[in-house]
Amino acid sequence: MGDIHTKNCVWQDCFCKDKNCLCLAILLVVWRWYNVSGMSKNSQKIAKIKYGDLVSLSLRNFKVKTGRTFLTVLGIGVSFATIFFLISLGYGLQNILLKQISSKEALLSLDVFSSNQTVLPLDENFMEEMSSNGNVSKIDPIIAVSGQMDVSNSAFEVSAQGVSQEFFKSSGQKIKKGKAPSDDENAILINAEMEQIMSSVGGDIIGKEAKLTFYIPETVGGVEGVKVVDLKEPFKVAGVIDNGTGNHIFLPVSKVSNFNLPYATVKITVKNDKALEDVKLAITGMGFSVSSIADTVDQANKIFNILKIILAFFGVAALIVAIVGMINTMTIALLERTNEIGVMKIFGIRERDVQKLFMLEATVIGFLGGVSGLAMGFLFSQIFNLSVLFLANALGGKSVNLFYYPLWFIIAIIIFASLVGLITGFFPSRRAARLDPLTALRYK
Amino acid sequence: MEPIISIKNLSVVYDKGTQAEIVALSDISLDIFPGEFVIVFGPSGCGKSTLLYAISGAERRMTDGELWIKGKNLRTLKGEEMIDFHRKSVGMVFQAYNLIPTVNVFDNIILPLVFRGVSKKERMEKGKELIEKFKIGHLAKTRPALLSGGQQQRVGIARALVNDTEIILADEPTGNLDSQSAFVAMDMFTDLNLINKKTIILVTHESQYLPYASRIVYMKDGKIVGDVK
Repeated sequence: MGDIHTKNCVWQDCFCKDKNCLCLAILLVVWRWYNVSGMSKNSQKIAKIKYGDLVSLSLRNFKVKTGRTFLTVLGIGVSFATIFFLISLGYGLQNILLKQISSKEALLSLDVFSSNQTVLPLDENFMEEMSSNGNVSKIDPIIAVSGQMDVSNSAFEVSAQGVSQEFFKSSGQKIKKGKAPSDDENAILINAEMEQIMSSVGGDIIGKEAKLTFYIPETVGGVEGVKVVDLKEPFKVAGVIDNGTGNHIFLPVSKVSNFNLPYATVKITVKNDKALEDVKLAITGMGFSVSSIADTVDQANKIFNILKIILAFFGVAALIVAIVGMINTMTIALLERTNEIGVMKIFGIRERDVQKLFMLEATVIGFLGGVSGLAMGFLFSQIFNLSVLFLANALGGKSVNLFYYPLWFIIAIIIFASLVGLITGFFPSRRAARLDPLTALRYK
Repeated sequence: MEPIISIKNLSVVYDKGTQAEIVALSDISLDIFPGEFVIVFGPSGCGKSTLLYAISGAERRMTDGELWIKGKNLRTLKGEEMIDFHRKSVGMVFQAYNLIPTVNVFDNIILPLVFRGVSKKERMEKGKELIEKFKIGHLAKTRPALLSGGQQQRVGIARALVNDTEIILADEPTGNLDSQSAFVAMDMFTDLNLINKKTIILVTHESQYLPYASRIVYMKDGKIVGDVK
């Protein structure tokens, strides 16, 4: 999209491809309008102000009346800061959620579980049924069992999960330290929360040997009980995984598959999103429960769209305040300089140039408002984020970035702020341009 | 000799057709020739400033008559022709100086050149020449508010000259000055008239400046009541 050769191509690109281009196109149109409207009235017979002089003349008030200009810019800036803060919070929250749960692969996966394992166990039969389904590409069973882990002379009650290699590789899982154990390795991963507790008791836990004891549920003569199984071989703590709260350990599924336990969950990955519903129907037809991340994401997106509308509503309210304030500022600036305009006209300034002077000044105020808004919004959001992080860390939560600043949104804010300036400057500047020089000269 | 300004039966009426109707100029006829130093003299409200602003092109409420300046009928000038007239035909000096407060002395002087899109080099030359001529070179970077009245009026006169127009109009230029600065200013107008051959039309109600003129036009109630060369 670098070239702007033909208008059609630009328009197509702009509307079809991305939002940055849309902004560029708006700018282009405004510029054209600005120029065309400037020339429509009279063909250019007499000389006009050079562009460089136009700029320095319209900026002279910034240099001389710095205080007031600063306040005006600040007023507009605060409005844009509010908008920027709110919208980037909306995007940030959405981003956190979607990044956490929705990789492309995650969107194609289904979690299958049984509501009653004794009546309808999730077992090999189900696995066979699924592997014969042509729409299914991967099947990852997870076996869960509670137990005890002894390490460095301390014992921990843990919930152990036997998982496949695929589980470790899937993008939802973040391995913070060490690496995942291979299929038949006597090694485990512990979750981050456990690591925090254990390292506070016995220093660095990685690489230490742990002894595992499982409590296998069994029913003997109609009475439910628990069989305690000691695993003879020790397990090495291979790393830390960022998963869940409470004490969780993860080990290769082969290490727990010989206890005749049903699968706690089976993760099914379908071949494409069209097959998702079919596979879901097939599973629910068998009597199992199924949940998919795609559903959650859909719901989340709906909620976030509503949230963004609400945030945008506040933003628009802030913007209206800014616009009214800016029209007021420009009108006052005009009244204050009425006399000056009269003098300039007597010394032969073109009406168009008077209008351009005011519009340029308003546009620059808008632009500076946008830029300062971004700066303030960024600052406030970072301070806000830091305090939330501080709180989260103190309470043992995860560090996240609550704000996300899409590049197109930053550009859009700057362009929009300048546009607001241009538009609010239009009417006062037109009034200025049309002032009768004598009336203006005698204005007190 | 052809007159540079020729006014024939000119009338200016404010708020025509309303209760507040005021006849500011009534059937004025006057020819002004190149190189004249005309003082228009009269009590306040006699229409002398209206006459001056009519010649400057700013007063457009002419109801009757003709106003010819350098062969152009001012009543028929419109839009860009009018702007061109402002640039090339008359330079204006005001009682309240009317300098732009947000730009410095030098830029105030060259502002009319900026409006015409004159190159920076040419502007610098012209500006330097004028600022030296009026002995305000040391104030070039100063803003007008920090200047004395006499200094401000010198800036105002320099600005009126920057377009190199044949006609200089001055509306009570001494009105805000102390008597010493006022006489200095009047001397400047005399120099412009004698040395630079400018046609000067100066409006005042103070009789002590009348000896500076080569011609005095007396006005009262919108009419010319005397014309002495």
